[in-house]
Amino acid sequence: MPVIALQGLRGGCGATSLSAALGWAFNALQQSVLVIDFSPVNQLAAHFNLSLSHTQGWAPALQEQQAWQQCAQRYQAGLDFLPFGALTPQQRAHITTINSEFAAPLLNALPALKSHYDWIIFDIPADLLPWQQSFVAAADRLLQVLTLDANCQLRLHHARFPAHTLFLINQFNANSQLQQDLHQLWISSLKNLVPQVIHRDEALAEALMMKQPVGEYRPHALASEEINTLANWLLLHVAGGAA
Amino acid sequence: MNPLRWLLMPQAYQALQRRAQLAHQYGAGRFTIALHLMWCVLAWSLLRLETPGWQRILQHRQRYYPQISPLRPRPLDPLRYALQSLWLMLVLPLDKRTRKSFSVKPLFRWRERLYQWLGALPARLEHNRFAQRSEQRIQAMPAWLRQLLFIAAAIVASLLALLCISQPFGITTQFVFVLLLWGLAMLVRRVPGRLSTIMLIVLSLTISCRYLWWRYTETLNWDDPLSLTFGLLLIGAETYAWAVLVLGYFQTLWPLNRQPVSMPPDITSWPSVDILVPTYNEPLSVVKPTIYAAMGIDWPQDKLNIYLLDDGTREEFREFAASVGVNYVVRPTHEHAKAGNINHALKAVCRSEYVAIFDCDHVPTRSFLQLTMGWFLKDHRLAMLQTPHHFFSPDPFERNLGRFRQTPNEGSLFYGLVQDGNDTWDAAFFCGSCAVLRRTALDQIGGIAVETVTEDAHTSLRLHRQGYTSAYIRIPQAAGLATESLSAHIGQRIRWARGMVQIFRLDNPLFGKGLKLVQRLCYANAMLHFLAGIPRLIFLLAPLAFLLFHAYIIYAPALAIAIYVLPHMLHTSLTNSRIQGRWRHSFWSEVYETVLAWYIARPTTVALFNPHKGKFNVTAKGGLVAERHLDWVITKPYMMLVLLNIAGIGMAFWRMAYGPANEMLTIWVSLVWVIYNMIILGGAVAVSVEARQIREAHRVEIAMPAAIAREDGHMVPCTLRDYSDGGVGVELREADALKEDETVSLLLRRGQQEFSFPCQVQRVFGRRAGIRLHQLSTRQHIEFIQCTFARADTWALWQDGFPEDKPVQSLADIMVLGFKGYLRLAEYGPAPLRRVFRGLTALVSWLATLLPQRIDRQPATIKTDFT
Repeated sequence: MPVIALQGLRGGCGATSLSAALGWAFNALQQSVLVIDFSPVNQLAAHFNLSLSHTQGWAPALQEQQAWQQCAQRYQAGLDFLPFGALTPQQRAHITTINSEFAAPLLNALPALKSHYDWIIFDIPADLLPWQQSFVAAADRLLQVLTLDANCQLRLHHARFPAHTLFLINQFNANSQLQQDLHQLWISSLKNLVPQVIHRDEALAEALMMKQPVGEYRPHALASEEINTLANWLLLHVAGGAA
Repeated sequence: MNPLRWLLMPQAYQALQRRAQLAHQYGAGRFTIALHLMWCVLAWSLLRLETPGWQRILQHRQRYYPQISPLRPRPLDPLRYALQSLWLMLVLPLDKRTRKSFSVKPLFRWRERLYQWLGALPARLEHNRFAQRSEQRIQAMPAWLRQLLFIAAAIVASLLALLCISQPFGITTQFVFVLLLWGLAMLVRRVPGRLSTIMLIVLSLTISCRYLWWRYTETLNWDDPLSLTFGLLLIGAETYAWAVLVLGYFQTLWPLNRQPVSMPPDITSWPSVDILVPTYNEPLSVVKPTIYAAMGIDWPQDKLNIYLLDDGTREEFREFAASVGVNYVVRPTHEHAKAGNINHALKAVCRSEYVAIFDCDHVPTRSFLQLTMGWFLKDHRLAMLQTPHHFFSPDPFERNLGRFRQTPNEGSLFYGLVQDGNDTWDAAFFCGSCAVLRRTALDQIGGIAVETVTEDAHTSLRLHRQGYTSAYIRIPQAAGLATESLSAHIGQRIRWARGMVQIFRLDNPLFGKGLKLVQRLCYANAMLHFLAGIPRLIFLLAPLAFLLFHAYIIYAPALAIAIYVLPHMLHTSLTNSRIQGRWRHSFWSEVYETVLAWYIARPTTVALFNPHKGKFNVTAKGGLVAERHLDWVITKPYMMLVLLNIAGIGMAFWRMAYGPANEMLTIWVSLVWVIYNMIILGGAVAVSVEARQIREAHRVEIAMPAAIAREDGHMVPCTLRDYSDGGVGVELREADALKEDETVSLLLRRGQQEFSFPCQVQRVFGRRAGIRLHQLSTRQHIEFIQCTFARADTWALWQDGFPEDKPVQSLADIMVLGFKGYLRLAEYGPAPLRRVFRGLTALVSWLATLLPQRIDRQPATIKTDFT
């Protein structure tokens, strides 16, 4: 029932990989999950071994007034995902300025989806498109995925975050003095920091190459275990939609 | 088997034939099989084994009768079944899932309800506010009425006590009396809380005082001088044991369990502390972790000074101190050992308000000062605060008996309970390490005392005489190495024993000014404890007086002895198990005392008469036991005692055959006593077989999450299974996730921070890997110690990890240990002796298979249903 939106603070923080991995982790905890891709880059499907020639998705379907529900794919029992879909060049040009009414069917279908699935995960791009604001507002939590570098530190100062934001540190490298110092700084100054940190693990990088969520590719990698812990933490703190 | 073909139906006959074949396959003899088949036929014909009730039991047969193999029958199996069934009926809790068809089910329910009612009694009393209401009512009375009430209650109680203790009973009356008290004790022990402990103590004291009174008034034979001598010796030993028991109850009745006090929030008001680490001849590898941990203690750095006091004036220590940045102190002369070392440093260089002393191998945790200094700021008369000496390596008892972390070790009783009890009476004394002292108080008494070899207890005695208080916090905040070998251990205990008796002679706590009565009693008890050598030897040799010399050491009929002694021992054991169960399991005190008895008997007696004689010997730390061997030098006295007891057993059998008939019961009682002594001596012998130690760096076991970063970027999660100051052992999630000689980084967390250490994989076997730290900087060394040894919670969690005391189980464990001790002795002895011992032990093992065994709880099944 809870809806979680994952968004990188900047591109390349790993929000899409984490969305797929988190979907797998929730499924391993006997929860049914739907992961929805909101990024025009349409890479979430690659994490779930969807053929690269498969171009259907909910966004083009909505634009062409087709049944967007048919685009949903099943990875395995209890783990479903909804690809964004490949856009034609004209559609891509207009996607930033399009009227937010076009996504209204999906927004209206959210309550029905919430009753059908235990968890819904939104994979939101770092550069938020205007019509995606309502989806972020509809989520129970917004998980901002950060990496420990000066770029994210600068963005933290300038961005404005909604009240239901949680911050998640990804790609942590314990050997970097800069990352250690920033980590200690954010622990003491950043509110709503998720206590679980995801390490920079080669397994995560290799998982996308293998077109599998990392929990399936390498269940014994450190990243997989940390994402499992994250899933459990979210189960404890967010489930039921409690604030 | 052919006649059976006529008697049984074909299916039954075929089933029997199959059973016989199976048994034959598993190696049972022809006679055994025939017997087994006969019992099977009888069971199936007479008991209705096909009914659902019986079928359910047969289904779980493996669980209910784990020691009886269904495949390979043995001749006495029916007896085993019978004994185990009897045992199960008495002991098995009412399991909802198994429905018995016996009519004893309401009996079980009644028993369960009684236990629940007893267990909930304190909560119910608390709920009714019984204590508060009665207290209010008593307070509401006028003062004179209150006093009168107390005096009247005291008079009635003492009269009743006098009556119970001194009234002579006949045998039957005494039997009924002890049965009543035992029943009461069995009921009372189900009630949790301190009040029921006090009741148990009262019952135990009643029985024990009664026993001693009986011994003094009725069991001395004034006519026979030999019996009289032996009898007086034994009575002396029993009086000593009784005195220690009473003082022990008084001392440990109400442990204070002092909690730490927080430091004030303003850090600038925190006082300055000197940390002294005296060392003499220990290797640098033992001292390094202590210094690293001291450097990482959470305290303002400008208020913390660390001093390495080197009495051996070694160059490598000076270099090490200079390289890490701690002060290095040497002195020109070397008198008075550690005390002199510390006094010299105090006079020469230490200027802070407080002094913390650590033995060179005691690694302090980061929270040591923050937990302890609060009390000094709260109580201005506090001169000394002590924390437990925790050991992360096994002491000789644990190592040689293989009981590390399964039973609490010898020191747990003192540091877990006795010192805590002392603290209630403000008599906690200094133990030489892991403590903080107030500098002004120390200067007032002239520094650490040097007149005795136990300078620590003497120092706190002097502090108490000056009117200062002391404190004890039960949370372990430092851990160190236990003594390496049994001889080193005994040497250390001899030193403590001699020192305590010296203090008893030179600065007797019972006399002299400055101490409260309760403090005198607590110090006296501590010293009395070390005089246990001679009484223990007397107990070990007492039954031989009758068996070898025919002297009536207890001049009473055997039945009377049994009726008086057994309740006394049972109540003592029960009450001690209740009070001490978490820190010392039943009957282990006997083993510890026996091992030390011979060795502390002489030094304490010498010190009692001439306190200045005897030399000081330092406890060796950091040594290594190269080969598994029997320490013959240490074992000699036990061997003598064992041989004497064996002679006693031989004489017992001779007397049974040729002696007068009316002495039979006395012989049996003596024989039981001798066997009990033999078991304890067996344990003592087992301890002296030194187990081999492979590594020099001690590994501490732990279970902590960690991660390993490989060079190719893959991160391997693992569990840290043990650590030492040079490396760690980890358990991986899957086999062979690492390669040998691979360069990796070990990631350890401490709180919210993660640290990375350069390492090399030493060896990999299956899921376990040994990893060696490789060229760490000083900063990294400190961080590693911080993540492992100096964690604030490691030792505290350790203390809670022991299983609770089960007296019968404990006695059985010691019996097994004693048994194994004799086996080991036989291994190292001459060949014919070996054969005899093997025969005897085989006989006893066979007898043990007849005993009923505990069964496991049914495992819970987890169902994951994914819809």
